[in-house]
Amino acid sequence: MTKPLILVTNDDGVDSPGLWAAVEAVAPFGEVLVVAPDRQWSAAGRSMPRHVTGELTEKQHEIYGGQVVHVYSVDATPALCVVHAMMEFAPRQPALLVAGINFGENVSTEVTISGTVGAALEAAAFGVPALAVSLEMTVAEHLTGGEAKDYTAAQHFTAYFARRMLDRALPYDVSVVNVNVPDTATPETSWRLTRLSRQRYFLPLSPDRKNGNGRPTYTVLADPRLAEPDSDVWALRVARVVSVTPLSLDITSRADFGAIEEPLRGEE
Amino acid sequence: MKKDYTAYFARRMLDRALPYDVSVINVNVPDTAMPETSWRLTRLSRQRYFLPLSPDRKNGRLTYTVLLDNSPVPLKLGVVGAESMQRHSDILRFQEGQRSQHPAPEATVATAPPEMVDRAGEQLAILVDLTPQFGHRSREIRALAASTYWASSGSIVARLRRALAEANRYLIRANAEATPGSKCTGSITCVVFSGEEVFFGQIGAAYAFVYHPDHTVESFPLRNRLLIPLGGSLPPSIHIGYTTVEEGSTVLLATTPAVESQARERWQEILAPPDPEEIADSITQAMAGSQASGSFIIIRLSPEPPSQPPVQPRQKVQFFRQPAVAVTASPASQPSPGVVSPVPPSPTSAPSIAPGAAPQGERQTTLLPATLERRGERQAKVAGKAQDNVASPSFTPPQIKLPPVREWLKHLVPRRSAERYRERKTTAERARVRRALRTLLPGKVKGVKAHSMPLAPTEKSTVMGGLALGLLLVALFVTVTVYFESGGQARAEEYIVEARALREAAFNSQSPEDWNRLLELSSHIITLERQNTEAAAMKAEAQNALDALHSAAVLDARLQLDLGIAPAPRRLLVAGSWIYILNTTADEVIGLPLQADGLTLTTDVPTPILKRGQSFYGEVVNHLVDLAWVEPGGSYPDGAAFIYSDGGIIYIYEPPLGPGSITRQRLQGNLGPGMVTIMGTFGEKLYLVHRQDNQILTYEPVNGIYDAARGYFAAGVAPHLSEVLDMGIDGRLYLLMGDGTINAYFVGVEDPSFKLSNLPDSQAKPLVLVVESDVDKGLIYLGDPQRERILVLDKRGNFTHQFRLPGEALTQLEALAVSENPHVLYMIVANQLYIAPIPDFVTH
Repeated sequence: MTKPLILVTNDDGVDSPGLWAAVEAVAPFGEVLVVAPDRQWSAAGRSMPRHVTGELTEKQHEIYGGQVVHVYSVDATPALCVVHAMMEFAPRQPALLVAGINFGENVSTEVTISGTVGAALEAAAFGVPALAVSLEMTVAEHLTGGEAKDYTAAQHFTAYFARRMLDRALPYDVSVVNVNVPDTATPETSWRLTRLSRQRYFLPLSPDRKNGNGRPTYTVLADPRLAEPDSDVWALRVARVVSVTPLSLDITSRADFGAIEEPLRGEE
Repeated sequence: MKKDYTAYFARRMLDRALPYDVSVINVNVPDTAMPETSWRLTRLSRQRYFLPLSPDRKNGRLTYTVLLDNSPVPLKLGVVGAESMQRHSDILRFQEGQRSQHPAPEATVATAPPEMVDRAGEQLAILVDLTPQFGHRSREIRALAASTYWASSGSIVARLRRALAEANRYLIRANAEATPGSKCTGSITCVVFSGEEVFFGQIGAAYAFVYHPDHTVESFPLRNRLLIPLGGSLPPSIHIGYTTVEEGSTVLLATTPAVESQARERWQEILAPPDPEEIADSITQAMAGSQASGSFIIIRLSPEPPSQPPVQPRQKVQFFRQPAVAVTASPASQPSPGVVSPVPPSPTSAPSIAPGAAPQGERQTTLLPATLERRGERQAKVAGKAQDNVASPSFTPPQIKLPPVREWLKHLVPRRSAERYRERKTTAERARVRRALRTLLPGKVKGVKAHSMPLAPTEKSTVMGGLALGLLLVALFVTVTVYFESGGQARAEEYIVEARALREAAFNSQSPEDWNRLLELSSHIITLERQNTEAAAMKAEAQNALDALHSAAVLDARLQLDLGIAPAPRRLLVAGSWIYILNTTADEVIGLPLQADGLTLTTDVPTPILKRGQSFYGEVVNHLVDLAWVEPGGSYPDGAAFIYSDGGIIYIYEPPLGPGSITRQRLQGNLGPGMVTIMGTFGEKLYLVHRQDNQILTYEPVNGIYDAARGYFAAGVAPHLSEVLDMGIDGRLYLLMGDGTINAYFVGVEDPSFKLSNLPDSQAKPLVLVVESDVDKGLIYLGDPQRERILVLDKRGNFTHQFRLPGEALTQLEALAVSENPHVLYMIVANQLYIAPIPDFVTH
C-alpha cells in the first residue's frame, strides 16, 4: 500500500531546527515531503505577496533513521509554499500537512498573524487536514529559535496528533489543529482542547521613531489570567498544559443572522 | 456604487452596535451594482474561489484564476472533511421469487464523474418503479435523471429537483405519445450520498429505508403526504428527505411489489446484519418465500480499512460478476466496470442510455477521491494489459476473391461513379460518331438539319433610312402631344388608383419593396400631373415609411396558443423556461412550460398554479393583481414567481416545488383592495405601486420575511402614480405613464439622463413596458398598439428600432415579455399567445 504523503512546512525557514524536529516526528508514519520558505517568514499569515519569485532549490536530506526526504526550499511565504507543493511537487494528495515546529507560541485571535497557521489554513483550503505546532519561546527568540532548544516534547505531541489525524478524520468544520506546547512540557504533560482567547496576547508597542525605528514592536500579555479559563492562553500560560485548538477555515461569525440583519437593515 | 454601500454600512455600524462575535463586516460589491441592488448576509464559501495555477518554472511565480463554470480546476483539490466510510452497493432483481441474473433496467448506482472534482465522493442511486413495468421506459427515465443530475449545477437538493422534474416531464411526454396500453406511471427515488449526509428526492409512493446502527429504521417519503405519482402532474410533487448515516447504516431502495412482500418489521431484521452479503442472502431467502418480483438497491456503509486490498469478487456471491470484457473495453478513466458512467449531456436532450448499465447483482464500492485515483491507475493497468492481449496476435483480414461471374460483371457493367463522366464524349466527338454511323447505317441515324438562311434583298440604305427616321419623328410628336395635352391626366387617374392599392399593400406588409414601388409610382404620377396632391402625399408617406423602415423589422411570430377572451389585459411573465399568465378577470395564474429554445411550448395544456377561491393555510385566495419574478439566489435557489393579491398578500411559487408548495406572506401597510395596481421586483426587493398613497412601496426581506415597507419617493416628489400603466426596474425604475411618456428614476429621483428621443414619429402611445436587466446594454421595449408596433429604446431613451407583426395584429396587443437568454419576445395579441425570436437588428 502507498504510504500516506505528509507535507511539512514552516514559517521560520527551511533551516529551522523546529522544521526538522517535525520532520523526524512524522517520518515514521509516511512519505515526507518538505516544502519550506528559503528564509524567515514569521508573521506572514496566509499572505501571498506578488514580489516573491517562487525560485526553488531542491535537495535530498537524510534524517535520523536513514530516511531520505525530498526538500524544496522556495522563495515564497509559508502559504505560498503550500500552494507550490500542491501544484508542483506533491505526487498525490497529501494525507496531512504539518506546519512547525514554530519558534514561539501562536495563541489567541492573533493566530491569523502567524505564518505557521497561515500555511495550515492554506492546506485546509486544499482539503488537506492540517496540524500547526508551536513551541513557547520568549519574544527575543521568535525569529531565531534561541539556542539549544529542546524540541522533545513538541516532537512527541507532533507525532501524537499527526498519527491520530492520519488514522481518523476530524469532524466537519475542523480545518486545522493548532497545538501550542509550553516550554516546560515533557511527553508526559497533559493536553486539553481549548478555544482561541479573545484577549489579545501579543500587545503592540509604539515604534521608537526617535531612534530611527519605525516598526511597531510587541510584547506578550503580562497577566495571562486575563484570558478566558477555557482558552489557549490560559492552558498554555496558566495551566502549563499543551493547548490544542481546533480551527475552522470558515471564519464567518457564529452570531445569529437575524440578530445581524436587525441593526444593518432594520428600522433606523 | 462601492461608495454608496460603504456609506450605508458605515452609517449603520456607527449607529448601532453589531452582535457579539461579529468582528468584521466584509462587503463585496458586484461591478454591476446600483443603489437599488439588494444585499444579503452570506457565509464564506468553502468552495475555493481563487484557483491557483501551476507556475511556469521559467519564472516560478504562481498565478491564479477565479472560480468560473469553465475555470480549469486544479486536479489535486480535495474535499474538506472527506469521510472515511466505504459504501458497498448491490442491485438485486427477482422474478417470482427467483434471483434474476439479468440487469435491472430500473436501478442504477453511479459515482461522480472523475472530472467533477468538487463532487468527488458523491454517489447517486436511482430506482424507478413503474406500473405496468416497462423495462425500456424505466431505463430511459433513470438514465435521464442521472444525466440531468450530474449535468446540473447548484446544491445537491437543487440538482435532485431538476433531475426529478426532468424525469417526470419525460414520462408525461412519453405517455402522451404512447398508445393506451403502453402508458405507465409509478415512482422514482434518487438518493445522493455525500460524506455522512444522504439526500432523498422522490416522486410518488416510493419506498426507501435507512437502517441505523441503533436499530431504528427511517422511511422515505413520509406516508402522511400527498404522493402524486411520477408522470401524474406537471410540475411534479417532489419530496425531499435528508438524514445522516454512519458506519453500520444501510440504505435500501425497493420497488413496491418487492417491499410489500414482507412485513415492515421483517425488513428491520433483514437490514441488521453488518455484512452486505448476509443482507443480500436474507433478501434472497425472503423473496423466494414470497414468490414476489421486484428490484432492490442496497447500500451499506462500513469503515474503510486502512490497508485495504483491491476489492476482489468472492466466489460465494454469484451476483458479483466481474465482466472481463467490460474491463477490456473500458478506458482507464471510466468508473469501475459495471457502474453506469454518468454522462452529462444537456438536460433537455433526449434521454441517452448510458453504456454499461449496471448489471443485476453487481457490486460496487465507492471510495475516497484518493482511492478512486488509485483505482483508476489500477484499471488503466488492467485495461492496458487487456488491450495488449487483444492486440498482440497480428490480425490480417483474409483476401476476398470475387467469383468469376461477378468479376466479369464488374468489368461489363460500369459503376455509377465518376468514371461514367470521364467516358462522356464531347459534342465534337458525338458528331463524329454520328457521321460515321450515318455512313454505316444510312436512314437509321438522324442527321443534323442544315439551316439554310434565305438571303435578304438588297437595300437602298439612304432612302430607307430617311423614311424610317421621318416616321419615327412623327410618331414621337403625336405621342408627346397626346400625353401632355389630353392623355397625361387620364393616365395619372389610372395610376392613382393603382397607387392607392399599392399604398394599402405597403402599409400592411411594411416591406421596403412595396414602399419603394409606391415611391416610384407616385413620382411618376407627379411627372404626369404636377398638381396631383394625393400623389405628393403618397410619395412623402412612402419616403417616410422607407426611412422608418431602416429601423424596423417584421417579427417572425409564431402562434402558440389560443387563450380565450379576457375582458381585462392579462399579465405575462417568462422565467425559468416557463410562461406564467395571470388572468386578472378570472383571477387565475397558469403556467406553460417552454422548450429549451424558448420558442415553442412543451405542452399546450396549461398547469394551474393559483386561482381565486383556493384555500391556503385557512385563508381563501382573493383577487390576483400582478405577478413578478424573483431571480434565483438568496431565499429562492431556483427563483420564484411572486403573485400579489388584494389585501397585501404575496403568494410565492417556486417552480421546482410545484403548486402544492406555494407559500404565503402578508405584507405590512395600508394595502386594501384596489390600492396596489402594479408589482415589480429587483433582486429580492418588491416594489408596489400604491395608487391611493401615490407612492411606490419597497419591501426588502429581513431574514426572508417581507415585512415593513419604505416609500421609494420622498414626500411630494412622486409623479401621478394613478396614471402609471406599467413599471420596469433594472436598478433604475421606469414608469410608463398614461400619456405615453416614460420617466426614469434613480434612488427616488428623476434621472435626467433618460429622455425619449429620435422616435420615428410623435404618435407613440405605448401601453406596455418591458425593461431588460442589463443596466447599460439592455433594451427597453414599448408595446404601441395604436401604431401597431413595438418600439425598442436603449437605456438612455434613444429609439433604436421597432418591430411589427404582419397585418394589424398588434392593435390588440395585451401583454409583452422578453426572455434575454434565448432572446425571445412573448406577446399576448388578440387573445393569442405569440412567440417570436428577436432578430439582431442592424441599422442600415
